[in-house]
Amino acid sequence: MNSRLVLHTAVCLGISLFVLDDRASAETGRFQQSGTLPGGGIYSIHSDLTAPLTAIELWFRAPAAGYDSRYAGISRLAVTALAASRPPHGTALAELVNRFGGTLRIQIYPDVAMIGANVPAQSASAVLRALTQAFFTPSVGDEALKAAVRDAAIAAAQVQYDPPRTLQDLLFAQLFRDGPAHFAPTPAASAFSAIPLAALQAYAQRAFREQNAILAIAGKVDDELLAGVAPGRPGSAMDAPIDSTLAPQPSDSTQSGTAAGVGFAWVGAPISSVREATALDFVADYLFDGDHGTIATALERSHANLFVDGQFVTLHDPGVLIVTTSGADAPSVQQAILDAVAQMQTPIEAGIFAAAQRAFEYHIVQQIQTPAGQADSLGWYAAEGNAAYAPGDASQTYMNAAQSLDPSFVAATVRKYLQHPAIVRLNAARGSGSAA
Amino acid sequence: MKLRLLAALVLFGFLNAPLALRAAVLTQSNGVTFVGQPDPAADLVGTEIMLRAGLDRETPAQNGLAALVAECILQSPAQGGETLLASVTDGGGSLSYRIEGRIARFYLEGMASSYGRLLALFRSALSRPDFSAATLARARAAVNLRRSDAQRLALNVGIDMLNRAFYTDSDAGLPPYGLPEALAGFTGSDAAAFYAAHYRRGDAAISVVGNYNAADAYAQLLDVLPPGGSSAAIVHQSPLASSSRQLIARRDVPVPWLVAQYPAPDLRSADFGPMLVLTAFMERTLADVASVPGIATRSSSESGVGTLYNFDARPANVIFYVDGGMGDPTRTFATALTVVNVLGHAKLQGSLSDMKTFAAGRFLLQATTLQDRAWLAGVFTQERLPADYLSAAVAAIDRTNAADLQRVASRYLGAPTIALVLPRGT
Repeated sequence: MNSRLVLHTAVCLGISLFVLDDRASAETGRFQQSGTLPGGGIYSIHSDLTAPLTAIELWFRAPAAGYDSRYAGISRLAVTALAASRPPHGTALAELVNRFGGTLRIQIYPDVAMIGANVPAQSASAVLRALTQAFFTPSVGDEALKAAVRDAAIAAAQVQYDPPRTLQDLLFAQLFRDGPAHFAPTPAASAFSAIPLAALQAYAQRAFREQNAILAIAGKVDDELLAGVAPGRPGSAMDAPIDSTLAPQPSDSTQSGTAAGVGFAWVGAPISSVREATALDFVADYLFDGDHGTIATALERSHANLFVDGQFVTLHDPGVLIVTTSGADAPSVQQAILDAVAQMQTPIEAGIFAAAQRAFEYHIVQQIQTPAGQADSLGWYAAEGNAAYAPGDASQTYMNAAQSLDPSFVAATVRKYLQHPAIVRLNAARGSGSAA
Repeated sequence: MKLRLLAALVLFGFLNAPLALRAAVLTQSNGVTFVGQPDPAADLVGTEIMLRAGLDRETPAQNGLAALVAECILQSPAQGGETLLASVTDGGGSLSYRIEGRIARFYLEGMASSYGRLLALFRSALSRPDFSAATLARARAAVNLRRSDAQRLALNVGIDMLNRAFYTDSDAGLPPYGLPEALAGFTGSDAAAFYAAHYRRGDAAISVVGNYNAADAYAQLLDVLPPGGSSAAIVHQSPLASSSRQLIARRDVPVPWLVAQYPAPDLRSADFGPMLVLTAFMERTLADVASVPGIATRSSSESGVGTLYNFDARPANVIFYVDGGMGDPTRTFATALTVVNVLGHAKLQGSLSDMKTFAAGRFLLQATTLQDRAWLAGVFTQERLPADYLSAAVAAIDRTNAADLQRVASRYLGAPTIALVLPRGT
């Protein structure tokens, strides 16, 4: 990276920058920098010139069901509609990305919305301009809204046939009494057609503003790329991370779905408690990761019709450890899941721990090896309120925390947080659920 | 952890800008092709090892043996009583393999800081695999699990059926994991004999990506194997005595799938670029015809339609697939077929730049992970092509003109063989 060019671009655009890690430049083709956008909001760039692609993502702190929780799905619908909206004399973002052979991703979480493109580096500037234009000056037309309703309805149908996702939504609804986490980010299809255009416009104007944006870019980044950021409107500073209100105590319930399953959720550490949050990541990885978790793989080997997955979701406050089991054999392994977590209250033998820690560090790095993985990491952790903690951040905060873990600390963290889970049992039958 | 849950100008830009920071390093010694893509700032290293020990080395009676031998290497004792696979996993890495028509591919990935140790473990197991009864039993169970996992996917079922009919002059189309009954009959001697005959360094390739040093050590990784190569099994397979080009299977799938296969040009062919453009175009056409929602990009499993251009296979082929999630797949495919026929009979008018830009972007999207990059570099260099696979592929796309498209559509996309995978009871 040519520092003079960066500085020149930054000065011209009014962008403040902080070069966090200039270790590479011409030597390795990698650098990180972050700063503020011209009209507010922040950006974070992780450049890797060996990558053939650029991942460009916009993250917003935005409640998925709206600011008054009135319209479930409004965030998904708004993001989708803006991606489909054609500006005057221009091309819709979705169409542009598709033309370049890239991919457009929309990810809606209870408290955060993300839209990102993965495109050939040479088209990154045009896509960044279209992306920021669509979301910094949002305007939704009737045609785009119709297309978005259809697109969101398909996404809703897919969730319905995805037991882990269904369980995850139900667990959050049970664990949190109020706030965005109480509502499924992608509700039933009928919810989308009930959202009026005026409400959608108002939501988009409030949520999607430059001041509230986190721009995460990774992969091959051109010196002048940030010049592609379209100007936004005047607005208030970035919203604080959005928390939800916990229920008085975790509870059990039985619900109906398209497949059998059992889900577990424990309230964990906030993102500010870096070492504890990392310890819970370690526990989830060691026991429940769908590909290599010790309990997940052992149970799946011994049960023909079972799929196990688990992760600690790092949120602003609090985080949540989720484990989902799906398939006809799911009810039979409930106690095994609870026992496995309870056993973690006792420190793991040192040799086993050391191996698990090495594997954990590798899994973390593996997840950020692509531009999209890196941008996801930068955007998510910034949106949840601790940008420096993002795996892959030049500060190495995450990896230092991972390397600092020891069996006693992990066991103590489990004893502190993983005592009383919320449990949702999903029956493979249609009908209404009942709280226990 | 995060919750998981201007076209012509741009193409011109692809060709005039370096697509990767460094040119790949290419050397050859002892019959082994070594290609490296160094990235000193990366945290990871990935190595793809490609040996001529794939399906075409099996006789039909040996089907599954190539997978069993590869799995035995992963299951061989490595250190402290652990298998190689467990030792690599505990050492902060991953190890996997794939059995293809001609090639057995191993992929070893890990943290740069400890990679040397992982590589040494792999080298040791590769040179002295264990075919004892205990290891064989573990390997059999693992291969059977892979087979049952693969058979759950209708697309795999369809491709397996099509490959069996497609490869008439070799056994490259045998199912990759064989059948449990056959696996149960293989002894340690069978596995050892297959290993001795086919795990040779002649015609092998090693492709490394990431933060590696001591390239010589990687280039010499296969020196533990005997020199020379091996031959494919001799096949006497009669062509199917049927005029029908439709294969049907029934499985526990919720919707019917249509999978079609055509012959296709290989990497060295002048038709490679046009076929990349055509397959990308067909992917988009199938999605349009099937009315796949197009705002957020659907993954291939979500959209239910797609194309696979197996340019590394010999002979190469291309697969189009449509599932019945969005309606009758035969109708979608018939409409797409009409488009192909038009392309084959009339030269396209106007600029192809949109199609080429889309195709180039799609190709680049397939080269993002370390494993993708290692595999692509290995495939290109094994075919004696430049190691800079990205530039080579994009240049091939850019050279494509309307006459090429017409010629390639007409030559290759005439009469497909079709596999229908239907829900049981239909």
